[in-house]
Amino acid sequence: MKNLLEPILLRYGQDLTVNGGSTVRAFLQPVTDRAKASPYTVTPLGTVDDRLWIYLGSAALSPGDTVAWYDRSFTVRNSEPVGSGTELQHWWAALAPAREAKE
Amino acid sequence: MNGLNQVRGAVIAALNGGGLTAVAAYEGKAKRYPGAVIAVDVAEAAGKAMALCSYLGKTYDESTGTVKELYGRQLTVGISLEVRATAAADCETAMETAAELLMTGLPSGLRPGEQSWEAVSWDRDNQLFLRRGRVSCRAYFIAETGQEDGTLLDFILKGVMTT
Repeated sequence: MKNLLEPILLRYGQDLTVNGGSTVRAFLQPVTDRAKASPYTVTPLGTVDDRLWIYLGSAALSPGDTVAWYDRSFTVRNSEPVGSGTELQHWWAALAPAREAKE
Repeated sequence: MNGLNQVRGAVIAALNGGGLTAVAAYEGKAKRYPGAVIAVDVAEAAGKAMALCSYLGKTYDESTGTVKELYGRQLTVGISLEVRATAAADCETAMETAAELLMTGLPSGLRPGEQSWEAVSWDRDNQLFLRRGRVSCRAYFIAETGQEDGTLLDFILKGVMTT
């Protein structure tokens, strides 16, 4: 099953940089939420972009890992292995936009 | 700068001066901080005039050789402090330092009263531990008349350096 995913990832996936080092091929897409008109939640600490992005790929990610794609960076909030039968098929992860560091 | 902003600015300056990271609440995008961060806001305020119609009297300015009239204003304010950190222990440490600084590090025009702190909780929006606190203060502002035309200048929080 995993072998079926690899050619699809190669053709349609994106190149992501994990933890500033290795490059992995995966699908990365924002979670669409029609009910959420504004991408921001206002908190006393400032506005927070709380939209989540979904990662699907063969490389394992752990909470706290950083992922960079294009001009964006993300922090892994949650991740799970997804199996098919007895085989690990791919990894699923929910990513949140990374915040700028305070200067 | 209005009175409430002066109070908030003075608290932020005192906390930052004591080695903590404090920011004004609801300003810009939330950032990533290496340690604990404290969002400061004036949650409530009530004002009253001091003396008779706020008039405190006259004072002689030796540097200019002029007599100035002084006016005073008092505010009772409730300051909201929200300490956030990636670890609950960091919240605790920052809260203890902040509580100490609020008692000893504020300018003379800002006199702290009662402090109260809630238990540590989880802030889902920021994915950080949170400890909320509140301190009540009395803030004293002084305004003086200008040197040339006698107009009343802005009320300034007593004990704060101005440029």
